Amino acid sequence: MWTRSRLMGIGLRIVSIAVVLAAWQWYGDDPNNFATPPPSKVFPALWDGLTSGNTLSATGTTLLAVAVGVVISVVFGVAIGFAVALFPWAKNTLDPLIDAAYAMPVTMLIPVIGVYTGLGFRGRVFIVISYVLLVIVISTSTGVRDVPRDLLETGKSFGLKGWALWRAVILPSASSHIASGVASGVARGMRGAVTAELLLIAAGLGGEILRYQALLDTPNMLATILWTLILGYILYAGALALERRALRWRAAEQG
Amino acid sequence: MFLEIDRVTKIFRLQRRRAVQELRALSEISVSVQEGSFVAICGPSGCGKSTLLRLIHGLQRPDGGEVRVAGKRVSEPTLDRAMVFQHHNLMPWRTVVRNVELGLERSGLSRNAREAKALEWLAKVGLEEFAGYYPAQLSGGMQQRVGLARALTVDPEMLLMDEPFGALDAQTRVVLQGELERIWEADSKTVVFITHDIEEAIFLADRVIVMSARPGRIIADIPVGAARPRGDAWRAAPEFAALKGQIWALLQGTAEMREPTQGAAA
Amino acid sequence: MTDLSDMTNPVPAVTPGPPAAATAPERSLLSVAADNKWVQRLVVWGALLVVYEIAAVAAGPFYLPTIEKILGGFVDIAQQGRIPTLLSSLEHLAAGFGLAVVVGVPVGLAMGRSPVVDAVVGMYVRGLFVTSLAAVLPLLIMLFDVGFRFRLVVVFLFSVFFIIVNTAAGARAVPEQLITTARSFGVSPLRRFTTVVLPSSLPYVIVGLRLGIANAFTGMVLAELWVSTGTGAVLKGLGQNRQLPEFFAFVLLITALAALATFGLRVAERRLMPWAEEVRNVD
Repeated sequence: MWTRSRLMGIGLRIVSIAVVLAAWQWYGDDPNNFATPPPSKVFPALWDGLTSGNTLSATGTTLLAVAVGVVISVVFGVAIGFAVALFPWAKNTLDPLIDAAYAMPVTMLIPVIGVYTGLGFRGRVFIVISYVLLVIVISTSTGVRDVPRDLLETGKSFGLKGWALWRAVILPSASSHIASGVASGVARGMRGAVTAELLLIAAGLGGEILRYQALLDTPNMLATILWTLILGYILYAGALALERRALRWRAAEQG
Repeated sequence: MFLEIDRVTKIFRLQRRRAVQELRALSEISVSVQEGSFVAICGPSGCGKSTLLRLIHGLQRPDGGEVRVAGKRVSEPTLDRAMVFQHHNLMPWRTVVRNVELGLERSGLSRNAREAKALEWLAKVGLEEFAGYYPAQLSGGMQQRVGLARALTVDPEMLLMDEPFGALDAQTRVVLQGELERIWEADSKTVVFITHDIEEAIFLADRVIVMSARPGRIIADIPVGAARPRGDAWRAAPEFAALKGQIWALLQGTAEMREPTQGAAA
Repeated sequence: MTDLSDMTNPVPAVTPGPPAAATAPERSLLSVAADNKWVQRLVVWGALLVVYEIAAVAAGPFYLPTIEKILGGFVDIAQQGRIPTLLSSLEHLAAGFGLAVVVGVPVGLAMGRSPVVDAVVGMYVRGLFVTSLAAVLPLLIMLFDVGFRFRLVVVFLFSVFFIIVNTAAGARAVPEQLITTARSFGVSPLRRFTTVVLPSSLPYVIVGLRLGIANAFTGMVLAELWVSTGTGAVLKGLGQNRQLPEFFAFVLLITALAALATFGLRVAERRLMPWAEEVRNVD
């Protein structure tokens, strides 16, 4: 386990982080670089924000929008994904539309969202959905379409038809794809929520960043940005971990 | 006759860019198989033997002629016929025992009854310890044995085997051939076994049917009269080598015709 | 049953006049038409347009513009001189994306082939890849001020990580046997790189480019919405003034461009690499 290469890997990572922190400290200490305060100012600000509950309450606001948006997207996305996979003409007619919609920068819709949902929680959730829904649809429809032919044939060979075939073969096989899509969706949902909070209506973590920016309180601003980035990473890592636990058999395949 | 293949033809239509290409996989094949006999079908790659097996099973329908089992026309896969595939085709998300239960799910048995039966057959192939494992954790030979147990659990009248040992290494293959022979001896189902390994065919079967390249036609139908149970002694016998040479020559396409060796017809 | 004459005729003869049971049944005109790609598209897209039109009429011009209004919107946009704005934004996009390619591909290759590089740089890349880069915008504004550099940096950041991560995946996925084989034939490390690693990673690089360009568009719009310039400003204005026909038209135009770029890369993917199977996206 503790092989030389593993130790070297960990060592390199530690050195890398140390170098980055040192460079940041050196750069930030220069009074000319007002916009980038050094770690010595940023980390205490981060700590204060967390312990005072400020950052955490903003985090809660953001995560609520993410959670609601992701859940709605999954429910509708899986349903739509199934419909697309089963529609025989989907490949020629719906796939091009889905691909085009996926390429669309959904951020474009922000100026006009207020018209339909008002500015507020609903608007933010709507933006989250616009970031996440399509990914779920695509991974669901791909998952259903890409069920290995051999396994389908085997199921049919043992007399499974219709709903029994779905339950025994198609759904379990597709669930792997769908789970990956949901994990991706969680990360995208977070991105959508923060974007909405920066551009649509200041709330949650985005709102905090804007607030500190307006006050020119760069240590707190940077601390909140750092926290947002870390949170996004934790969220995604958590989603991946859940995905792996739910699909234990896949680990057996790769293990 | 238990299994009758009556002038069966199968044509595949492939969608190319502009036109539809027709591939004649099987051309007017006729074979009759007695109940309880072990028939091997040998032939070059692409000669249509897998297709023939699927037609017998009911996974596909013939374009001409028909397949009859016990007098009734075959139209879809029923549990009277169970298939063992070349690639184990085990559901990776199910444990070994749950995989073996696959065929029983339509049978109306309770969960416990299904599991008990599956475990019984796992034991017969020697894998009862691995019931709770996932397929990916087993070796290739073990996976194939699970596939075999899965097929036998539904207690079929006919066992259809599509090069089941083809993906395994030579030693495992020999071991599994012995095991299959032993299991079959105990139960005497009708078996149609596809392989391109001539020795495997001669070792296991009562009858070896040799097919030509596409479009598949039957070149020869050779009885194998060796007594059962067959062990390594059979592999070493001179008749074994003679049969092997004969079949090999047929597959090579030499014009020489030999008398089939002695032995009672299957 | 035993037709031995076949043994001397290894080439299967084409049987003239197939037996009656084996001919393909005549297909009706309707079923042939239904298989045609464009007929299907006509039916489904036509149906979708009809549904939209009904919804637009029902919702009213305050919420959804009808199709003819949207078409009028296209005309208005051209007349109001929005197109040059769009083109100028695209210039920023091209610059930022170009930079992302120039930086991203080498970094990705290095990360994929060298465990050292991966250890040193990998965690930042993977971390930033997953999180909301939008959060960094307020910081970037302070660093770069509003202007060309800001928009360039935003587009760069939004696209570079997709390129790096996918390129690295490609570089990592080069089958070791190919490299070992090349080495056993005495191929130098440089030539191994150019003749084995690069072609093998190419499909992944293209996927990274495809995802990167889509995100580059996102970055472009985001940056411009943030500082209210260029295309972003146009969108903001149209949205706030509730000029929905022009807004929808503009959105459709930008979507078409983004889709075209993505589609173009997909075609390139298929044409340049017929030997590559469908590569799993890292998204």
